[in-house]
Amino acid sequence: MLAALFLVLAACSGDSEEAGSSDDNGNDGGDDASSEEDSGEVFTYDYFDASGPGEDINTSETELGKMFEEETGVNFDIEHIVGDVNQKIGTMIASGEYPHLLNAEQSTDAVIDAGGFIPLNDLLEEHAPNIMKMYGPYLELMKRDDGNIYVISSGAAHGYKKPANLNQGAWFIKRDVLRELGYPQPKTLDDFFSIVEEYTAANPQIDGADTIGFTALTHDWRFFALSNQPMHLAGYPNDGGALIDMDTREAEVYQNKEITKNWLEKLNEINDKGLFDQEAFTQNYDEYLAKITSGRVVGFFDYRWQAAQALDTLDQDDDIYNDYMGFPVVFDENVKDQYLDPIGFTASPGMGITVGTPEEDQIRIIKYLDHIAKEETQKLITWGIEGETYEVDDDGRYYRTEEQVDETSLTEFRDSFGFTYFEWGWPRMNGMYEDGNAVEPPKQEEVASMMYDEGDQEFLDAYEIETFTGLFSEPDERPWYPAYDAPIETGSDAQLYEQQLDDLMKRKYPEIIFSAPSEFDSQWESYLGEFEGLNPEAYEEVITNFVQKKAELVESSRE
Amino acid sequence: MQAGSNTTIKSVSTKNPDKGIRGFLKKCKEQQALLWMTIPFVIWVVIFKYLPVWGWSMAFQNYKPALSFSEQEWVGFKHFIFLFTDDRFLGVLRNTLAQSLINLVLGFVTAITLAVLINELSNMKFKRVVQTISYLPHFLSWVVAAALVSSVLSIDGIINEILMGLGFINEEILWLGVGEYFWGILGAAETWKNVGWNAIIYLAAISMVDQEQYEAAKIDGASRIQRIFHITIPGMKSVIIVLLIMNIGYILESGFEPQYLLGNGQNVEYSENIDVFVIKYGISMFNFSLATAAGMFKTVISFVFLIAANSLSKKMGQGGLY
Amino acid sequence: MFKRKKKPGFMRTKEDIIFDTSNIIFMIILCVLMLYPFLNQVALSVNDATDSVRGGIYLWPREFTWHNYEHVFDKAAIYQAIFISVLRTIIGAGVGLFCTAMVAYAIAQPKFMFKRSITIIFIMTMYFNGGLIPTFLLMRDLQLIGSFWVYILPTLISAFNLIIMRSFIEGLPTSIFESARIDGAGDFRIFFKIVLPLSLPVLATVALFVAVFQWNQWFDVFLYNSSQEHLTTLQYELMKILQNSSTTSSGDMASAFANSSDGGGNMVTPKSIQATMTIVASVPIIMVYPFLQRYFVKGMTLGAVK
Repeated sequence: MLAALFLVLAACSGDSEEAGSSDDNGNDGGDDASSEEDSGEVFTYDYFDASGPGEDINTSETELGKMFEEETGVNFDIEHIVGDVNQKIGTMIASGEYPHLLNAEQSTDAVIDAGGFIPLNDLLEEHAPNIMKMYGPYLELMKRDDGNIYVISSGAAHGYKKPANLNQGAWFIKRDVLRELGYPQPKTLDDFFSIVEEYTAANPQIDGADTIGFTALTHDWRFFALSNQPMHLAGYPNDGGALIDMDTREAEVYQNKEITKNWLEKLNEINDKGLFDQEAFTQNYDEYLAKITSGRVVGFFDYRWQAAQALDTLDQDDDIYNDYMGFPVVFDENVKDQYLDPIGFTASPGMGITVGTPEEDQIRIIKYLDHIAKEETQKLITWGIEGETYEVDDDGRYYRTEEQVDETSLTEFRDSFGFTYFEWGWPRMNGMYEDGNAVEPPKQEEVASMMYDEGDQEFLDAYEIETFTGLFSEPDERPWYPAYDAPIETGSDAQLYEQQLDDLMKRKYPEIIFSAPSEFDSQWESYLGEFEGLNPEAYEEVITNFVQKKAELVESSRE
Repeated sequence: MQAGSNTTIKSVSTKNPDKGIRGFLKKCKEQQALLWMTIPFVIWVVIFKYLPVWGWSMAFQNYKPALSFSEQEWVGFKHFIFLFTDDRFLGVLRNTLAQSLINLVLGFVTAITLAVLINELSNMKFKRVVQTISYLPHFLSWVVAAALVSSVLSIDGIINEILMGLGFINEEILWLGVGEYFWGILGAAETWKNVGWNAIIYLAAISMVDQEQYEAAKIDGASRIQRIFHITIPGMKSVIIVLLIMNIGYILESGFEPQYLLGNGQNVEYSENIDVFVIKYGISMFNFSLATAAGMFKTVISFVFLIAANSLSKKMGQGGLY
Repeated sequence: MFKRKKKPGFMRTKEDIIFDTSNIIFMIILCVLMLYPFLNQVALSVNDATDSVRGGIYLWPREFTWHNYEHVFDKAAIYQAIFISVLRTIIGAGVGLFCTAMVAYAIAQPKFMFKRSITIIFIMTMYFNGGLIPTFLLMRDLQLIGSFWVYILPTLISAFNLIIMRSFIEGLPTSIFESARIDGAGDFRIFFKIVLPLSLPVLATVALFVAVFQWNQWFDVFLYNSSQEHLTTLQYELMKILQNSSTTSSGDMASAFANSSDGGGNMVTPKSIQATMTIVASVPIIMVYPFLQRYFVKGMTLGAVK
C-alpha cells in the first residue's frame, strides 16, 4: 500500500525533478561513521545541547576546539535547542534515537527514566582521573537512587569567591536619586520606599515624563520577580517557592505567611501614595526594559541578569547618573541579607552519554571530557591563553590589560576563540584555582576594577566599598542550595501546586495591591481563602526530602 | 443555488438500480478516472492523518514516551476528570466560546465587507495596492503584533490619548488591566491582523461572478448598493456558507498566542481559554496525556457543532459541506 | 477587457460619487492602520539595538545602522536556508495545488460514487490530530526524517483548501461539463482542459495559502530535520538567531560577561532581531500576492467559455 502511495506521489510531482536531487543529498548527510573512515584519526560525535540556544558549529571550528581535537582526536557537532525542550526531547525518547552526547535540560529525568543515558561510573573510574578529582566532593550527589551517575553537570565549586559585580537580586535605585539625596543607604524596606517617596515628591516629572516611583516585572514566567521578595526581605537566598529552615532543614512555603502579607501591604500602601506603577501587571518584558532605560523609574527590584539589557544600555551611555545601583534590602535591621548565591552544586542537568553509543566511542568521549577537566584546560576555557587573553603578574595573579578586556568581551572573538562554546556546559569548576586565582575572570578583582568608570568610582567611594557587592553580606553555608533544583515529578501534586499557586498569585496580587488600604485585610483574607484550596504540603514534602538528602550527602562527602 | 441542485442529483444517484457487487464493479469501471484521482489521496490521508490517532490512547494513560504501548500505565478517565472538575474549567470554556464566537462573527462580517468594498474600487492600481497592504499584518508574528497592541493600549498609548483628546474619557484607562475589555480587544486585534487575509478568498469568489450580470443590472437601473446585495453577495454565498460551517466546527479553537501574550493576572478571568489552560497544565508540565485529553474533547465538540451546522444549513436549503 | 470600459450611456450618479469618495477615504485610513506596524518594524530593524531598548521608535530610526541585518546575514547557513525555503514553497504549492485540485474536482462531481464518503474522510481531519509523538513516530517509520519530503508529504492536501476548491468547482456552470462529455472528453481531460483554466482565481488563492503556510513553517524543521544543516529553512534559522539573542538567563557565566563593557554597537537584542526577522521573513512572501492578483481578474473569461 505504501509503495503504491509513493509511486502515485512520484507521478504527481514528476514535474519537479530538482526536488528529487535535494532529497538524495538528504540521505547521505554527514554521518559520523563515514567521517571516521575518511580521516582515520579524528572522530566526530553529535552533541545536542538543550540548555539554551546558540550557534550550531563543529567544535574544531574554534581555536579551543581545534586544540582539544589535536590532543584527543575528537570533535563534536554541536546542535542547540530551538523551540520547546520537552517536545524535542520527548521525540528523542519516544523514538529511542539520541545524539551521542546529550544535555537534556529539564527533561534529564525523563531521559534517565527512559534508560537513555548510560551509567558513567565505570567509565569515570577507568578513564577519567581528572573528572574524578574535580568532582570528587560531589560524586555522591551525582549518583541517582540506583547508585549510578548518568550526567556530569557544570560547576563543581572549589572554594568561595565573592563576585565583584552583582548578578543576583537587588533593590535598585537610580544614581541620580542617590546623589540628590546625599547618598543614603537603604537598609530596610521602609528606608527604600522613603527614598522613593521623597524623591518622587520633589520630582514629579523626569525629563518631561511622569516619575514612576516603583515598577515591577510580572510578565508571564517572570512573575517571580515580584513574588520572591518576601523570601529575600526575610533574609533568605533564592530557594524558589519555599524557605528552608537553617536548623531543621524543613521547607516551608511563604506565600501564605506574614512576610508575604507585609510585602503586599507595603505595596498596597505605596500604591495608595501613587508610587506604584499602574502598569506593573500589564506591561510586557520589553516595555519594562524600556521604562527602566528611559530613566523615569526611581526604584525597582529585580535580578541583575534579568534587567541586564536595560542596565547595560544605561551603563554604556555617557550619562553616569542615569544608572542604577543595587542594595540588599531587608525587612528590618536585624535580618542579615542573603542576596548573593551560596556555594551550590547542581547535579542535574548535565551532559550524559546516550545508549546506542558504541563502547569505544564512549571511551573516546569520556577521555575528551576528562581532558577538559584538567586544571590547565580549565584555565584555557575560562581565562584563555597566557600572553594573549590574560597576563600573569609577579605574584602569580592573573589579570587582563584593557585591550584584553575589550577583546575578550567581543562576541566575534568569543565565538571564534571558543569561549562561547566551552566556558559553560562542559565539566567545569567554580570558585578558585589552587593558585588562588578566580576561575571566572570577572570575579577576579584585578579584572573587575578595570571595568569601573568614573561614575562607578564616585559611587564606590561614596559608599566606601571596593566593589558593588561590597554592601552585600557573604552567603551562609546552605549545602542544599539551590532548593528549586529539586526534581518535581510530572503530574505529581507538588507540580500541580506550583502551577496553581502561580495562577493564584497572578490573579490575586494585583487585586490586593490595587485595593484601597481599608480593604487590604479583606482582600488578603480572600486570597488566603483560595490558598486553602491548594496543597502546599505536597510541595513542602518534596522540597524537604530533597534538601535533607542533599545536605546530608554534601556533608558526608566533606568528611 | 448550485449546492441545492447537487443535493437533488445526489438523492437520485443513491437510488441507483444497479445493486450488488456487479453493479458496484460496473460503476467503478465507469468512474475509474475519478477513482484514480482520489484513491491515492485517500490512502495518503489514512496514513498521514488517521494512523497517528492511536496517540489518543495517551489520554487514558499516564503517558511516558520511554515506555512501549503495552508498558504504559492506564488511568482511565483521570485526565478528563482533572480537566472537567477544575474550578476554572467552566470559566475557561466560557472564554473560549466567547472569544471564538466574537472572532467568527467579526471575522466574517469584516472580511466580506472589505472584499466587497475593495471590489468596488474602480482604479485598478489603487485596488491592488489596497489589497496588498490590507493583508500585511497577517505576516506579523503574534509576538510583534501583541507588543504593538500592548503599547497602543498602554496608559500613555495612542488610544488613551485620542479618547482623552476627544473628551470621551477623563482619565486614562488601563485597557489590558480590566478583564471585561479583553474579549473586545482580542476581537479587534484579530480583525485588524487578519481581515485582509480573510478577504482574499471572497475576492476570489467575487472575481468568478459573471460580469454580464453587473452590466444587465446597470441597464435595469440598479443602484450600487442594490448591485452589491443582489449580485456580489449572492455570488459569494456558497463560499460563505462552506466557510461558515467549517469555522463553526472550530468553535473551541480560539487560538492561544494572543491570549497568552496579552493575558495577565488582571484579565485572566477573561483571557484564559482552553488552549492556554492546556499549555500551562499539559505541555509545559511534560503532561502529554492531559493535552491529548483536551484535544479529544475539542474534537468531539467540533464534530457535534459541525454536524449540527451542516444539517441546519441543508435544512434551510443552502446545501452543506457533505 | 472591452466590457470593463465605461460606456458613455452610464453617468456616475450622485450616489456613486458619495460612495466612491467615502470608500476611498475608508481605504486610505485602513492602509495607514495596516501599514504602520510594518513601517515600525522596518524602523526598528535599522535602529541601533541598544538604543531600541529605550523604546520610542515609531516610523524613523533614531540611530541608523545595518548591524541587525548584518547579524542575520552573517550566518553562512542563512543562504542555504533561503534556498530550501524557496524550494519547499514552490514545490509545496505546486504539488499541493495540483493534488488538491484533482481531488476537489472528483468530489465535486455529483455522480461520483464516493463523493460523500471521501469528502467526510477529509473534512474530519480538520478537527483532530494524533498528537506530536505519534506523528513523529510515523514520520520515522516512513523514513521521512532527515528528508526534504517531510516538508511536502504530510501537508500535501489541506482539507480546508480542498473544500474551498470543491465549492468553487461546484460553482462552475454544469453545462460546460455536460457539453464536454458529449464531445467524448474523459474526466482527466475535462479537469486539465476546462476546470483548471476556469478556476484560476481559486487556484491562485489556494496557491497563496499553501505558499504562505510552507514559507512560515519552522516547527517541522525543529521536529524532523534540526540536525540536517542542508535542509534548514529561513524561518528556522531566524528562530535560532532570535532565541540566541535572548540568552541572558542561561548560566551565570553568560550574564557575568554581559556585565562587562561590551563594545557598544555590537549588541543585538531580541526586540531588534525580532523586527529584522519580521522584515526578512515576510517581504519575500508578501511579494507573491501582487503577482497572483492578476489571476483574480481572469475569472471574467468564464462568460466567454459559456
